[in-house]
Amino acid sequence: MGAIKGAISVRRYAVLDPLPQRPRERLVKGLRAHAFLPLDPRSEVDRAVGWVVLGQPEDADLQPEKVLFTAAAGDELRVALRMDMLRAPASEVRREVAARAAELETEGRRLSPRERRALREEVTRKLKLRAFPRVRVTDLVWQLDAGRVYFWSQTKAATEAMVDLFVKSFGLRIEVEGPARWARTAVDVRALDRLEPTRELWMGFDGLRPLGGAGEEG
Amino acid sequence: MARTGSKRGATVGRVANARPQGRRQAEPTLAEEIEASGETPVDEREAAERADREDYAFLAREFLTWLVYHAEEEGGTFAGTKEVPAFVIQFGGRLVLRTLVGAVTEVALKGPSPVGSADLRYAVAGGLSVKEADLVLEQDERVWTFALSAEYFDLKRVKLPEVLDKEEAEQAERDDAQRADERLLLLGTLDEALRAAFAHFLELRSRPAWSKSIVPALRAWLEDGT
Repeated sequence: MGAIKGAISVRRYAVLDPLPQRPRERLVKGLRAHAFLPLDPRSEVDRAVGWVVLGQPEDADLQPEKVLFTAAAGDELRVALRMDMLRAPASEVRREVAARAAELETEGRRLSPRERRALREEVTRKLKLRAFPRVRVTDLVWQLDAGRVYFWSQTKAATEAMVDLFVKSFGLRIEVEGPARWARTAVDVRALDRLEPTRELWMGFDGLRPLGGAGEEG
Repeated sequence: MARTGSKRGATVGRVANARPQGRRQAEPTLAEEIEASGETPVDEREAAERADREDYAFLAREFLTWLVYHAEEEGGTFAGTKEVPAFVIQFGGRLVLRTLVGAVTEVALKGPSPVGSADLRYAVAGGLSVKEADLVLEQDERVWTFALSAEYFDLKRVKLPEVLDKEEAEQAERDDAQRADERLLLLGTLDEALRAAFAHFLELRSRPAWSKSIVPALRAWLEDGT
Protein backbone atom coordinates (compact mmCIF):
# COMPACT_ATOMS: atom_id res chain seq x y z
CA MET A 1 0.00 0.00 0.00
CA GLY A 2 1.03 3.64 -0.05
CA ALA A 3 -0.10 5.36 -3.22
CA ILE A 4 -3.65 5.89 -1.90
CA LYS A 5 -3.24 5.67 1.86
CA GLY A 6 -0.94 4.45 4.59
CA ALA A 7 2.72 4.93 5.27
CA ILE A 8 5.00 5.96 2.46
CA SER A 9 8.27 4.12 2.12
CA VAL A 10 9.22 4.30 -1.47
CA ARG A 11 12.02 3.45 -3.87
CA ARG A 12 12.28 5.20 -7.20
CA TYR A 13 13.35 3.61 -10.47
CA ALA A 14 14.24 5.06 -13.85
CA VAL A 15 12.95 3.36 -16.99
CA LEU A 16 15.97 3.13 -19.27
CA ASP A 17 14.26 2.35 -22.58
CA PRO A 18 11.81 4.53 -24.50
CA LEU A 19 8.12 3.70 -24.50
CA PRO A 20 6.96 1.42 -27.31
CA GLN A 21 4.74 2.55 -30.20
CA ARG A 22 1.06 2.77 -29.15
CA PRO A 23 2.14 2.67 -25.50
CA ARG A 24 -1.34 2.46 -23.94
CA GLU A 25 -2.25 -0.73 -25.80
CA ARG A 26 1.17 -2.32 -25.41
CA LEU A 27 1.50 -1.58 -21.70
CA VAL A 28 -2.00 -2.82 -20.87
CA LYS A 29 -1.36 -5.96 -22.95
CA GLY A 30 1.88 -6.56 -20.99
CA LEU A 31 0.08 -6.05 -17.70
CA ARG A 32 -2.74 -8.43 -18.60
CA ALA A 33 -0.28 -11.10 -19.71
CA HIS A 34 1.12 -11.04 -16.18
CA ALA A 35 -2.04 -10.41 -14.19
CA PHE A 36 -2.19 -12.09 -10.81
CA LEU A 37 -3.48 -15.68 -10.79
CA PRO A 38 -4.39 -17.19 -7.41
CA LEU A 39 -2.46 -20.21 -6.20
CA ASP A 40 -3.95 -23.66 -6.42
CA PRO A 41 -3.24 -25.33 -3.07
CA ARG A 42 -3.19 -28.73 -4.79
CA SER A 43 -0.37 -27.73 -7.16
CA GLU A 44 3.34 -27.92 -6.43
CA VAL A 45 3.68 -24.15 -6.89
CA ASP A 46 3.86 -22.24 -3.60
CA ARG A 47 4.35 -18.67 -4.84
CA ALA A 48 2.30 -16.49 -7.20
CA VAL A 49 3.27 -13.01 -8.42
CA GLY A 50 1.25 -10.76 -10.68
CA TRP A 51 -0.40 -7.39 -11.22
CA VAL A 52 -3.71 -6.31 -9.69
CA VAL A 53 -5.69 -3.07 -9.76
CA LEU A 54 -4.34 -0.39 -7.39
CA GLY A 55 -6.32 -0.44 -4.15
CA GLN A 56 -8.23 -3.60 -5.25
CA PRO A 57 -6.02 -6.62 -4.46
CA GLU A 58 -8.75 -9.05 -5.55
CA ASP A 59 -9.25 -7.40 -8.95
CA ALA A 60 -6.88 -8.70 -11.61
CA ASP A 61 -9.08 -7.57 -14.49
CA LEU A 62 -6.68 -4.89 -15.71
CA GLN A 63 -8.83 -2.79 -18.01
CA PRO A 64 -7.20 0.41 -19.36
CA GLU A 65 -9.59 2.68 -17.42
CA LYS A 66 -8.52 1.00 -14.16
CA VAL A 67 -4.77 1.37 -14.67
CA LEU A 68 -4.12 4.38 -16.91
CA PHE A 69 -4.57 7.87 -15.49
CA THR A 70 -3.76 11.41 -16.48
CA ALA A 71 -2.31 13.42 -13.60
CA ALA A 72 -0.38 16.66 -13.11
CA ALA A 73 2.86 14.85 -13.95
CA GLY A 74 1.36 13.51 -17.21
CA ASP A 75 0.14 10.01 -18.06
CA GLU A 76 0.56 7.42 -15.34
CA LEU A 77 0.19 3.67 -15.06
CA ARG A 78 -1.00 2.75 -11.58
CA VAL A 79 -1.12 -0.87 -10.44
CA ALA A 80 -0.16 -3.05 -7.50
CA LEU A 81 2.10 -6.05 -7.35
CA ARG A 82 0.51 -8.96 -5.51
CA MET A 83 2.68 -11.75 -4.13
CA ASP A 84 1.06 -14.75 -2.49
CA MET A 85 3.00 -17.43 -0.68
CA LEU A 86 1.35 -20.68 0.35
CA ARG A 87 3.45 -22.91 2.54
CA ALA A 88 2.62 -25.50 5.15
CA PRO A 89 3.87 -24.24 8.53
CA ALA A 90 7.28 -25.90 9.08
CA SER A 91 6.71 -26.53 12.80
CA GLU A 92 3.37 -28.25 12.08
CA VAL A 93 4.98 -30.37 9.33
CA ARG A 94 7.73 -31.44 11.77
CA ARG A 95 5.21 -32.24 14.50
CA GLU A 96 2.93 -34.29 12.25
CA VAL A 97 5.80 -36.15 10.56
CA ALA A 98 7.22 -37.09 13.97
CA ALA A 99 3.80 -38.27 15.20
CA ARG A 100 3.08 -40.32 12.06
CA ALA A 101 6.61 -41.78 12.01
CA ALA A 102 6.29 -42.82 15.65
CA GLU A 103 2.95 -44.46 14.87
CA LEU A 104 4.42 -46.41 11.93
CA GLU A 105 7.55 -47.38 13.85
CA THR A 106 5.55 -49.01 16.64
CA GLU A 107 5.21 -51.85 14.19
CA GLY A 108 8.86 -52.60 14.97
CA ARG A 109 10.75 -51.28 11.95
CA ARG A 110 12.45 -47.90 11.65
CA LEU A 111 11.48 -45.80 8.61
CA SER A 112 14.16 -45.55 5.93
CA PRO A 113 15.27 -42.04 4.86
CA ARG A 114 13.31 -42.50 1.61
CA GLU A 115 10.12 -43.46 3.50
CA ARG A 116 10.62 -40.50 5.84
CA ARG A 117 11.00 -38.15 2.84
CA ALA A 118 7.83 -39.54 1.25
CA LEU A 119 5.99 -39.09 4.54
CA ARG A 120 7.18 -35.48 4.80
CA GLU A 121 5.98 -34.74 1.26
CA GLU A 122 2.59 -36.29 1.95
CA VAL A 123 2.17 -34.32 5.20
CA THR A 124 3.28 -31.08 3.52
CA ARG A 125 0.79 -31.59 0.68
CA LYS A 126 -2.03 -32.28 3.12
CA LEU A 127 -1.25 -29.34 5.39
CA LYS A 128 -0.92 -26.98 2.43
CA LEU A 129 -4.60 -27.55 1.66
CA ARG A 130 -5.46 -26.19 5.10
CA ALA A 131 -2.96 -23.29 5.09
CA PHE A 132 -3.78 -19.67 4.30
CA PRO A 133 -1.63 -17.83 1.74
CA ARG A 134 0.53 -14.95 2.95
CA VAL A 135 -0.51 -12.01 0.80
CA ARG A 136 1.72 -9.00 0.08
CA VAL A 137 0.41 -6.15 -2.04
CA THR A 138 2.72 -3.29 -3.05
CA ASP A 139 1.68 -0.24 -5.02
CA LEU A 140 3.49 0.90 -8.13
CA VAL A 141 3.08 4.13 -10.09
CA TRP A 142 4.86 4.62 -13.41
CA GLN A 143 5.04 8.22 -14.58
CA LEU A 144 5.21 7.47 -18.27
CA ASP A 145 6.41 10.87 -19.51
CA ALA A 146 9.13 11.24 -16.87
CA GLY A 147 10.17 7.56 -17.15
CA ARG A 148 10.04 7.25 -13.38
CA VAL A 149 8.59 4.43 -11.31
CA TYR A 150 7.63 4.74 -7.65
CA PHE A 151 7.47 1.39 -5.85
CA TRP A 152 6.20 1.33 -2.29
CA SER A 153 8.63 -1.20 -0.88
CA GLN A 154 12.34 -1.48 -0.26
CA THR A 155 12.49 -5.14 0.76
CA LYS A 156 14.72 -7.43 -1.28
CA ALA A 157 11.98 -9.96 -2.06
CA ALA A 158 9.48 -7.36 -3.25
CA THR A 159 11.90 -5.23 -5.26
CA GLU A 160 13.45 -8.23 -6.99
CA ALA A 161 10.02 -9.64 -7.86
CA MET A 162 8.91 -6.25 -9.18
CA VAL A 163 11.98 -5.67 -11.38
CA ASP A 164 11.66 -9.19 -12.77
CA LEU A 165 7.95 -8.84 -13.51
CA PHE A 166 8.36 -5.32 -14.93
CA VAL A 167 10.92 -6.53 -17.47
CA LYS A 168 8.78 -9.58 -18.36
CA SER A 169 5.61 -7.49 -18.71
CA PHE A 170 6.88 -4.51 -20.66
CA GLY A 171 10.23 -5.58 -22.13
CA LEU A 172 11.85 -2.39 -20.80
CA ARG A 173 14.87 -2.16 -18.51
CA ILE A 174 14.73 -0.24 -15.24
CA GLU A 175 17.31 0.70 -12.64
CA VAL A 176 17.19 2.24 -9.20
CA GLU A 177 17.14 6.03 -9.34
CA GLY A 178 19.61 6.73 -6.56
CA PRO A 179 22.51 9.10 -5.92
CA ALA A 180 24.39 7.93 -9.02
CA ARG A 181 21.61 8.91 -11.44
CA TRP A 182 20.88 12.15 -9.62
CA ALA A 183 24.57 13.05 -9.68
CA ARG A 184 24.92 12.27 -13.38
CA THR A 185 22.01 14.55 -14.25
CA ALA A 186 23.27 17.38 -12.03
CA VAL A 187 26.99 17.43 -12.85
CA ASP A 188 29.07 16.68 -15.92
CA VAL A 189 30.05 12.99 -15.75
CA ARG A 190 33.76 13.73 -16.37
CA ALA A 191 33.80 16.19 -13.46
CA LEU A 192 31.98 13.62 -11.38
CA ASP A 193 34.51 10.91 -12.17
CA ARG A 194 37.32 13.21 -11.02
CA LEU A 195 35.83 13.52 -7.54
CA GLU A 196 37.65 11.65 -4.79
CA PRO A 197 36.08 10.86 -1.41
CA THR A 198 36.84 13.64 1.08
CA ARG A 199 39.65 12.19 3.14
CA GLU A 200 38.50 13.80 6.39
CA LEU A 201 34.95 12.47 6.08
CA TRP A 202 36.33 9.04 5.25
CA MET A 203 39.29 8.74 7.63
CA GLY A 204 38.43 11.24 10.33
CA PHE A 205 39.75 14.72 11.04
CA ASP A 206 43.35 14.52 12.25
CA GLY A 207 43.69 15.53 15.86
CA LEU A 208 39.94 15.72 16.51
CA ARG A 209 39.31 12.89 18.94
CA PRO A 210 38.98 10.07 16.43
CA LEU A 211 36.77 7.17 17.35
CA GLY A 212 37.96 3.61 16.96
CA GLY A 213 36.84 3.63 13.35
CA ALA A 214 38.46 4.34 10.05
CA GLY A 215 40.60 7.14 11.40
CA GLU A 216 42.42 5.14 14.04
CA GLU A 217 45.40 3.13 12.94
CA GLY A 218 47.74 3.13 15.87
CA MET B 1 39.84 -2.85 15.55
CA ALA B 2 40.55 -4.58 12.28
CA ARG B 3 43.98 -3.96 10.86
CA THR B 4 43.34 -5.02 7.33
CA GLY B 5 46.21 -4.75 4.97
CA SER B 6 48.76 -4.24 7.73
CA LYS B 7 52.02 -6.17 7.88
CA ARG B 8 50.79 -7.86 11.02
CA GLY B 9 47.61 -9.03 9.30
CA ALA B 10 49.60 -10.38 6.37
CA THR B 11 51.90 -12.37 8.68
CA VAL B 12 48.98 -13.80 10.59
CA GLY B 13 47.36 -14.74 7.28
CA ARG B 14 50.45 -16.61 6.14
CA VAL B 15 50.70 -18.54 9.40
CA ALA B 16 47.02 -19.37 9.36
CA ASN B 17 47.24 -20.66 5.83
CA ALA B 18 50.56 -22.46 6.22
CA ARG B 19 50.69 -25.92 4.75
CA PRO B 20 49.89 -28.48 7.45
CA GLN B 21 52.56 -31.00 8.36
CA GLY B 22 52.38 -34.10 6.27
CA ARG B 23 50.31 -32.54 3.41
CA ARG B 24 51.23 -34.05 0.13
CA GLN B 25 53.03 -31.85 -2.43
CA ALA B 26 50.19 -32.35 -4.93
CA GLU B 27 47.59 -30.54 -2.77
CA PRO B 28 48.33 -26.79 -2.52
CA THR B 29 46.24 -24.74 -0.13
CA LEU B 30 43.97 -21.98 -1.43
CA ALA B 31 46.44 -19.38 -0.12
CA GLU B 32 49.24 -21.05 -2.06
CA GLU B 33 47.14 -21.12 -5.21
CA ILE B 34 46.40 -17.40 -4.85
CA GLU B 35 50.09 -16.68 -4.21
CA ALA B 36 51.09 -18.72 -7.24
CA SER B 37 48.55 -16.92 -9.44
CA GLY B 38 50.24 -13.60 -8.69
CA GLU B 39 47.04 -12.02 -7.33
CA THR B 40 47.52 -9.50 -4.56
CA PRO B 41 45.66 -10.00 -1.28
CA VAL B 42 42.39 -8.05 -1.06
CA ASP B 43 42.56 -5.08 1.28
CA GLU B 44 39.20 -4.70 3.03
CA ARG B 45 39.34 -0.93 3.08
CA GLU B 46 40.41 -0.63 -0.55
CA ALA B 47 37.64 -2.99 -1.66
CA ALA B 48 35.02 -1.05 0.30
CA GLU B 49 36.30 2.25 -1.07
CA ARG B 50 36.26 0.93 -4.64
CA ALA B 51 32.65 -0.30 -4.31
CA ASP B 52 31.72 3.02 -2.74
CA ARG B 53 33.15 4.98 -5.69
CA GLU B 54 31.56 2.86 -8.38
CA ASP B 55 28.04 4.03 -7.61
CA TYR B 56 29.03 7.38 -6.06
CA ALA B 57 27.73 6.10 -2.71
CA PHE B 58 30.36 8.21 -0.95
CA LEU B 59 28.75 11.36 -2.38
CA ALA B 60 25.37 10.46 -0.88
CA ARG B 61 26.87 10.03 2.60
CA GLU B 62 28.99 13.16 2.22
CA PHE B 63 25.83 15.02 1.23
CA LEU B 64 23.95 13.94 4.35
CA THR B 65 26.97 14.73 6.52
CA TRP B 66 27.41 18.17 4.96
CA LEU B 67 23.66 18.69 5.42
CA VAL B 68 24.10 18.37 9.20
CA TYR B 69 26.65 21.19 9.09
CA HIS B 70 24.49 23.22 6.71
CA ALA B 71 21.40 22.79 8.92
CA GLU B 72 23.24 23.74 12.07
CA GLU B 73 25.49 26.53 10.85
CA GLU B 74 23.56 27.96 7.91
CA GLY B 75 19.96 27.25 8.91
CA GLY B 76 19.49 24.53 6.30
CA THR B 77 18.14 27.03 3.74
CA PHE B 78 18.17 26.45 0.01
CA ALA B 79 17.48 29.32 -2.35
CA GLY B 80 14.61 28.94 -4.78
CA THR B 81 15.09 28.37 -8.49
CA LYS B 82 12.78 28.71 -11.48
CA GLU B 83 11.46 25.18 -10.91
CA VAL B 84 11.76 24.75 -7.14
CA PRO B 85 10.67 27.38 -4.58
CA ALA B 86 13.01 28.07 -1.63
CA PHE B 87 12.96 25.49 1.14
CA VAL B 88 14.57 24.60 4.44
CA ILE B 89 15.83 21.20 5.63
CA GLN B 90 16.24 20.44 9.32
CA PHE B 91 16.97 17.20 11.12
CA GLY B 92 14.62 15.04 13.16
CA GLY B 93 15.32 12.70 16.04
CA ARG B 94 17.29 9.90 14.44
CA LEU B 95 20.57 9.58 12.56
CA VAL B 96 22.56 6.53 11.57
CA LEU B 97 26.26 6.96 10.87
CA ARG B 98 28.67 4.49 9.42
CA THR B 99 32.22 3.89 8.39
CA LEU B 100 33.18 1.19 5.95
CA VAL B 101 35.74 -0.60 8.11
CA GLY B 102 36.67 -0.83 11.74
CA ALA B 103 35.53 -2.47 14.94
CA VAL B 104 32.43 -0.26 15.08
CA THR B 105 30.95 0.31 11.64
CA GLU B 106 27.57 1.78 12.52
CA VAL B 107 26.31 4.14 15.19
CA ALA B 108 22.69 5.24 15.69
CA LEU B 109 21.89 8.49 17.49
CA LYS B 110 18.34 8.98 18.73
CA GLY B 111 16.77 11.67 20.85
CA PRO B 112 15.01 15.01 20.74
CA SER B 113 17.89 16.62 18.80
CA PRO B 114 20.91 14.53 17.92
CA VAL B 115 22.00 17.30 15.56
CA GLY B 116 23.72 19.85 17.75
CA SER B 117 24.96 17.21 20.13
CA ALA B 118 28.62 16.67 20.87
CA ASP B 119 28.08 12.95 20.22
CA LEU B 120 27.30 13.55 16.58
CA ARG B 121 30.31 15.81 16.03
CA TYR B 122 32.51 13.33 17.88
CA ALA B 123 31.40 10.59 15.49
CA VAL B 124 31.90 12.72 12.37
CA ALA B 125 35.32 13.81 13.65
CA GLY B 126 36.23 10.14 13.89
CA GLY B 127 35.39 9.41 10.25
CA LEU B 128 31.79 8.27 10.47
CA SER B 129 29.46 9.73 7.89
CA VAL B 130 25.67 9.94 7.88
CA LYS B 131 24.02 6.92 6.30
CA GLU B 132 20.40 7.67 7.12
CA ALA B 133 18.63 10.57 8.79
CA ASP B 134 15.19 11.72 9.82
CA LEU B 135 14.58 15.03 8.08
CA VAL B 136 12.01 17.80 8.06
CA LEU B 137 11.55 19.80 4.87
CA GLU B 138 9.59 23.04 4.88
CA GLN B 139 8.48 24.81 1.75
CA ASP B 140 5.74 27.43 1.36
CA GLU B 141 4.36 26.68 4.84
CA ARG B 142 4.07 22.99 4.02
CA VAL B 143 6.00 20.42 6.02
CA TRP B 144 7.22 16.98 5.03
CA THR B 145 8.82 14.65 7.58
CA PHE B 146 10.67 11.59 6.36
CA ALA B 147 13.82 9.51 6.62
CA LEU B 148 16.33 9.66 3.78
CA SER B 149 18.76 6.82 3.25
CA ALA B 150 22.08 7.42 1.49
CA GLU B 151 21.71 4.08 -0.23
CA TYR B 152 19.47 4.67 -3.27
CA PHE B 153 18.12 7.84 -1.58
CA ASP B 154 15.19 5.69 -0.45
CA LEU B 155 12.40 7.60 1.28
CA LYS B 156 11.04 6.03 4.45
CA ARG B 157 8.22 6.90 6.84
CA VAL B 158 7.17 9.92 4.77
CA LYS B 159 4.49 12.13 6.28
CA LEU B 160 3.05 14.43 3.68
CA PRO B 161 1.69 17.90 4.44
CA GLU B 162 -2.06 18.28 4.82
CA VAL B 163 -3.39 19.84 1.66
CA LEU B 164 -6.90 20.41 2.88
CA ASP B 165 -7.90 21.50 6.34
CA LYS B 166 -9.90 18.97 8.41
CA GLU B 167 -13.31 20.41 7.55
CA GLU B 168 -12.60 20.46 3.84
CA ALA B 169 -11.19 16.94 4.01
CA GLU B 170 -14.38 15.66 5.66
CA GLN B 171 -16.57 17.35 3.09
CA ALA B 172 -14.54 16.36 0.10
CA GLU B 173 -15.73 13.18 -1.54
CA ARG B 174 -12.43 12.10 -2.93
CA ASP B 175 -12.02 8.81 -4.65
CA ASP B 176 -8.88 6.68 -4.71
CA ALA B 177 -7.62 8.24 -7.93
CA GLN B 178 -7.89 11.77 -6.50
CA ARG B 179 -6.17 10.73 -3.29
CA ALA B 180 -3.37 9.14 -5.30
CA ASP B 181 -3.09 12.31 -7.45
CA GLU B 182 -2.68 14.41 -4.34
CA ARG B 183 -0.15 12.12 -2.66
CA LEU B 184 1.92 11.72 -5.83
CA LEU B 185 1.98 15.46 -6.37
CA LEU B 186 3.28 16.04 -2.84
CA LEU B 187 5.79 13.20 -3.18
CA GLY B 188 6.99 14.71 -6.46
CA THR B 189 7.40 18.13 -4.82
CA LEU B 190 9.51 16.56 -2.07
CA ASP B 191 11.59 14.75 -4.68
CA GLU B 192 12.24 17.94 -6.64
CA ALA B 193 13.39 19.75 -3.50
CA LEU B 194 15.72 16.89 -2.55
CA ARG B 195 17.17 16.80 -6.04
CA ALA B 196 17.77 20.56 -5.84
CA ALA B 197 19.48 20.18 -2.46
CA PHE B 198 21.73 17.40 -3.77
CA ALA B 199 22.52 19.41 -6.92
CA HIS B 200 23.48 22.39 -4.74
CA PHE B 201 25.77 20.16 -2.69
CA LEU B 202 27.37 18.70 -5.84
CA GLU B 203 28.01 22.18 -7.16
CA LEU B 204 29.92 23.02 -3.96
CA ARG B 205 31.56 19.62 -3.87
CA SER B 206 32.97 19.81 -7.39
CA ARG B 207 34.61 23.21 -6.86
CA PRO B 208 38.15 23.68 -5.49
CA ALA B 209 36.51 25.70 -2.69
CA TRP B 210 35.29 22.41 -1.20
CA SER B 211 38.72 21.44 0.09
CA LYS B 212 39.99 24.99 0.50
CA SER B 213 37.19 26.51 2.53
CA ILE B 214 34.30 24.10 3.23
CA VAL B 215 36.32 21.22 4.70
CA PRO B 216 38.20 23.67 6.99
CA ALA B 217 34.83 25.16 7.98
CA LEU B 218 33.59 21.67 8.82
CA ARG B 219 36.70 21.16 10.92
CA ALA B 220 36.14 24.41 12.80
CA TRP B 221 32.50 23.43 13.41
CA LEU B 222 33.56 20.05 14.79
CA GLU B 223 36.29 21.64 16.89
CA ASP B 224 33.77 23.96 18.48
CA GLY B 225 31.49 21.14 19.49
CA THR B 226 33.72 18.24 20.47
